Amino acid sequence: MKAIRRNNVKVLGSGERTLMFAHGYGCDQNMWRHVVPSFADEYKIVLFDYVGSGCSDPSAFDRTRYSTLRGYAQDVVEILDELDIHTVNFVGHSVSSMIGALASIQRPELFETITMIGPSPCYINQGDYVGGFERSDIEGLLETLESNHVAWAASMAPLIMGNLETPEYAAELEASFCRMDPLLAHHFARVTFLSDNRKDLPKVSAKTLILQCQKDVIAGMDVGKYVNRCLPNSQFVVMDATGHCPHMSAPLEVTEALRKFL
Amino acid sequence: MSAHERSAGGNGSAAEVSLEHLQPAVLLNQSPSGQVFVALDGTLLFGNPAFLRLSQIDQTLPLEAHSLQDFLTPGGVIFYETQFAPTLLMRGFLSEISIELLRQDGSKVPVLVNAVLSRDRDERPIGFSIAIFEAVQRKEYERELLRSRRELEQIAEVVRRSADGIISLKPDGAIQSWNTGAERIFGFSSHEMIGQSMLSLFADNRQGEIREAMSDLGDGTEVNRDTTGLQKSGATVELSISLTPHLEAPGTLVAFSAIIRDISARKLAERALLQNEKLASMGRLASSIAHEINNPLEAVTNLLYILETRISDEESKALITTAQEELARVSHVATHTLKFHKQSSGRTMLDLGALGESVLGLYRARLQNSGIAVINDCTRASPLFCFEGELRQVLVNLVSNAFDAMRNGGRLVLRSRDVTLWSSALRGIRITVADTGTGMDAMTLSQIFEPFFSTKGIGGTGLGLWITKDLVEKNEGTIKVRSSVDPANSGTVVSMFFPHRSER
Repeated sequence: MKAIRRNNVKVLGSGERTLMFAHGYGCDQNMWRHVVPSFADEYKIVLFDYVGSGCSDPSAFDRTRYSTLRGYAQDVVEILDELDIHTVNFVGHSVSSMIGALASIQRPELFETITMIGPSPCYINQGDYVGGFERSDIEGLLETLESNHVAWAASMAPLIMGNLETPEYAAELEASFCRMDPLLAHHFARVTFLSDNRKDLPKVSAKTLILQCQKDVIAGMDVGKYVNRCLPNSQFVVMDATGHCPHMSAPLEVTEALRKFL
Repeated sequence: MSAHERSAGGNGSAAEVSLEHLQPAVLLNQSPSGQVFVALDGTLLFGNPAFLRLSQIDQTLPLEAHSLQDFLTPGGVIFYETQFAPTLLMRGFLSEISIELLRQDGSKVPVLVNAVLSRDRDERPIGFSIAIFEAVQRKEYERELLRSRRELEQIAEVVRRSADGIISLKPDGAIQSWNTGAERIFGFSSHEMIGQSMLSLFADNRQGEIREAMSDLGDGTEVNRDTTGLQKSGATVELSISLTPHLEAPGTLVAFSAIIRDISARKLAERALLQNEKLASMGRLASSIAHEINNPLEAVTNLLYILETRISDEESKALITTAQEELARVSHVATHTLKFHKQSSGRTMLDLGALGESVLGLYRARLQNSGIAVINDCTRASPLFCFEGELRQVLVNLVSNAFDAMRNGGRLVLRSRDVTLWSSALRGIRITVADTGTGMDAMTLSQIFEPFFSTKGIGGTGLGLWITKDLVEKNEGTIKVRSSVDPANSGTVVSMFFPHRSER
């Protein structure tokens, strides 16, 4: 049960098929709270936190293992193996899209489908490729993170919120909204925003859905189309939702698109 | 204050402030800090004058044409989209977040931000209310702190990973920090040592001098000592330590550091070298004695021969024959002792059969007396290209060890053969010295080539096999030892392999 404890794995719902939701950089499994209830009746649902995020075990952090997205993908595979799940429908937000893709390259038989919300294989502009950012922009992000170490840690103090859509299992989650160990967040940011996984895309064989938002400044329309072109077996859906986190700002639209695809 | 004074006006009292001044809208307009309201996607829906001024926003356009992201650096946008907004949506508020505001003219202002999530009547999130404060000085100060912290962290990392033990201590000798090197030398983790007295790291009889050294630190003197430390396992370790005091005004000792180096290996090497030199000079002495003996020996041999021819009675003749035999043995020992030192300047082709005979000859009597059967099977191998004296010393060491292991009799086999190694197809000569003695256990076996390791008590130098290995390797050979202490089948086999000259 190593991976289950390490990645704070939660299994909910019931059903023949399994849905695994993987959070993006900057948050944790709680970001799926508006989406999960709509699927819990039909699917077994697996939620988890990457090492360094949410309630994962920070002592499991290993600089070398997690120096590329492959280490995080390895965690995904280990969680599935420990839960004895043989087929999964993977839903990844942002950087998790690439983590899911890498995991599916490593173990294609495990992945029935992959849904990518706001994916980007490479955030940095390189040659003709427009990722949207320069390296110096990422340095700027790291600097912002650094100057917010203390504030971020302080704002992670336990907190009880009203308005719980799913009070039966919400209470235990309250304490940890988007908790990130500041030093590990810094590390995860580097890995996320400085990785280049463009070469891996053509190796993905799983059926893939790409959900693209309007006005997503992190992973823009052109990046989404690029992913669509490189993935052999993918559908590209442009949503009305704006921004980078449609599953939080427009959960209904995401739920519908996902249901249609599955 | 009297009623009269209060009505005079213009004296700055609370009564001067009318309700009109306290209207929330007026306060917001006059607020020294920026206040904005943005939709969930960042579209600006409200900005107070302080924000409009700070951001230098283009006021010819409607406010809604701008979004908050337009006023963030690219790195700030990533932070806003991936951490700030999602966290705010889930937690409802964020405080004292530090970001940079990008003004219309391209300049950047560091700001601190407090934000809360606004909801409509149905509790659905509709936007963020954000207060923005300039933080230019604060940021400058922070940057300076961060820079110096990073420098310190680098130094701390160097100390932490150093192979030497580097520890810091309070004036009373209590350990405050403990690095990897110290852990390696003593075997204690930092967890076990922090707060403990440094004295506990030294053998009882050494604590006095350490205490004395510590007392010298108060006047700012640096102290260097070679001493003996005590490891977690209870074993001792040779150490060199430097204690450096840290004084603060007015000359008060506030802490000191200790840099500790394990010098066991150096000490051991020094001792081995010294001992080896002693053995070598003993060898030189022995051969010069042998040389001195040889001449009178020959004279006595000749004299006996002459005497033999002049005597006719049988009884005296028999006595002379016995004397001649004993003399021959002395002569044999002398010449073979001499051969040890007679280092030919270069390597020669050595007949191993003759060498075996010569070495066994030195031990013949002792081997016989102990009831040890000897098999010399060295005649079949080709000659070995080597330093003769060195190979002779190797065999003498091994035969002597075999003899010591068979005090109650047994069998000694000396064998040499031309062989081809199956592992590397290398061709060469294997020389084997095998005995049916007491054998060695695995623990002993793992240490036999270490200098000063001996199981022979007072009689052993612990250098025999250490030198043997050195000599074998000097002649481009390898040496392996197998041994068994199984009572039914005990014994030791030393096997050496020397590749042929053409294969080297």
